[in-house]
Amino acid sequence: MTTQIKELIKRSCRGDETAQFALVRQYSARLLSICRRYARDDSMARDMLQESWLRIFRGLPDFRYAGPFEGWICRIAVNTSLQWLKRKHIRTEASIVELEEPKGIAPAILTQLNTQDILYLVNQLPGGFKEVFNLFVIDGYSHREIAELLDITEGASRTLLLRARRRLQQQIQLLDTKKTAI
Amino acid sequence: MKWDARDEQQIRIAFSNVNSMSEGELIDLWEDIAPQLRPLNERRRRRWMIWWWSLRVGGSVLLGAFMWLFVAQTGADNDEVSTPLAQATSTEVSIRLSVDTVYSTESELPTTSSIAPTLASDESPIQPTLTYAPISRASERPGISSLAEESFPTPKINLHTSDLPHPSVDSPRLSENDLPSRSLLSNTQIVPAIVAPISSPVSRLDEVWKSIPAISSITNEFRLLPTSTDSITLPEIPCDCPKINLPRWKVSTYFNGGVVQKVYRTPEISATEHELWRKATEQARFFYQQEVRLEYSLPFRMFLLGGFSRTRIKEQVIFDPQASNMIPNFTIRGSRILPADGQAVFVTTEGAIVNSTERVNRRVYNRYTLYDFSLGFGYENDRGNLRYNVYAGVYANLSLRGQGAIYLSPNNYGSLGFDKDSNVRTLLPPSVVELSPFIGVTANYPIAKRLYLSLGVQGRWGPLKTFDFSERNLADTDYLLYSLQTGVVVRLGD
Repeated sequence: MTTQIKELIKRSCRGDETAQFALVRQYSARLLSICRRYARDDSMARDMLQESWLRIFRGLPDFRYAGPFEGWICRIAVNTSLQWLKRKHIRTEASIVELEEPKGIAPAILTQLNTQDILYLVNQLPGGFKEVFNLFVIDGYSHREIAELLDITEGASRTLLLRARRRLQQQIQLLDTKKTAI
Repeated sequence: MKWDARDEQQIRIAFSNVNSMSEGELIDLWEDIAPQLRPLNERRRRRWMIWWWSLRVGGSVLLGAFMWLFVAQTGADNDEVSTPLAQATSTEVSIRLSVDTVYSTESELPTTSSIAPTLASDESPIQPTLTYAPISRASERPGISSLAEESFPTPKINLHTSDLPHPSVDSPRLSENDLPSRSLLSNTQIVPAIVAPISSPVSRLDEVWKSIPAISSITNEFRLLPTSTDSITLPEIPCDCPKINLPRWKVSTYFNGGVVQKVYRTPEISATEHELWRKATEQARFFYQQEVRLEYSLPFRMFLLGGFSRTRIKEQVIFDPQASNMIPNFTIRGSRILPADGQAVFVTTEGAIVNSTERVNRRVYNRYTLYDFSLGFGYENDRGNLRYNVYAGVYANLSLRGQGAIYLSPNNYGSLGFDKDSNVRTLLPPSVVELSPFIGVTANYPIAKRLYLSLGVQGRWGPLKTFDFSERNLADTDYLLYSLQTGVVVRLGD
């Protein structure tokens, strides 16, 4: 952590709005990308982001500089997003339906997809799948942590992740087929 | 083909590439957050201010207390008399000890055989005025300090006379058997009888003896008390004009606070001649100063002083809400320290002049911090317990740091009216070592031995380079600082 960030954190703790804005400016994009992954739409993501920042500033005096500041605020953003979904009863129970086993995709297909396509496909995952996939693959949480966060069992977390991957593979294959047809 | 780690890596990369947010989105977000944060920030600011000032005041008190304790400790070895009260006590103690010294010197004690015949006579001066009583060590008596006893070390004899006979005033005569063989001719009535007249301005001990016929008789006839020819070293007892040997060194910590009068040496900036980067008026100016001083007493009540101080000048700036203000091209993150030449780097402005229609209610300050060495001289006098100082000297400016406020929100940036983070922070170099004359008066009141509370007024004049936020930035100005001064003074031992 740079001394500049430390200085901004200290000033923010003292109620300095300028420093707070500087932090918002620096990290909002990163946090927004997290919130977007969990939100159903963009406005929901902005609400999550706003609430995340409020929680961050309220909890800032408790930050002990033990780890990276970015990691700390990202976790807050993830937790806030999940709690936001829970509060709004948006998180759908993942329908653990048996999906048809995909035939598999060549890695080349994924690399050929552009960023927007990948983001689109991940965002199209059903609620439960999407959250577990994001937490495990993107945010690096363990199944145990995911189980605690989502209030499910570790086994359910593993199952959801497996099915999310399969669903994503299917979607990618489908997209690739469409592109080939065109 | 199965899903593998490379696919996940691909997805992570995809997500990491979308970390962007437009300026407008940021501003919108901040406008939503800021109003909710404001009450929290107010509370934190208040708490911070209370803590910060408590720390300062507490630090000053602790520093003063530490110095005082240190000085009191080291000064215990010197029998310095610094206050009238202490002086009186010291005198009293000296006399008492002297008397005790005489009595307690074994070689000078009268033998029973030499006393008895005379005492047995009708002319005995002891009767009917004296009463014997047991005596303890001088330091154990009320009003006599062990410090004084240490100052006049004498071969004390621990004479425990509890078993002595106690002839009273009723005793018509003293016989040989009534007198102890080794005793102090001391008495609880004698000591006050001696001390009382000496506390009044009586300069010579002889006069004390003469003023008490009984004692003088004893002295002359039995040599129990000294005569003027005895080689007893007594401290010089002052007469009407007490001579007070004050320590030569003093350490003082002061806190000054006051108002600032600013005078432009260069013509005040004109918007028609110069393009202003901000249009604002300076509504109020004030300053505070912390100083540590060392003073050395000279003859004729003069003293030299030297010290170090930190002065913070603040100018409150109110921006013209209807005026055009230019947006400087600042990076928002962090603070930008400008080069030491003081020339404003933020000349590189970006964007057009835009009109601001919002009312700015926040107080924004230009801040200047000065670090100075002070050197001067003064005159000290006293009246009663109060000691008055008049002093004058110069501050030599070591460095000057300034931070200017810039209006950064013509585009209705909401609560981001001012971006202190992007303020101009710069070292404003004095072209030479600039000297600022000062003059002041203080009154010091003793609150303990060697420790004084100080209250006074001080004026200071000095040149200062200030921001004027125009093409010609910086401006040369003169400052007059009027302040009320409070502090703690500790006299050090020689």
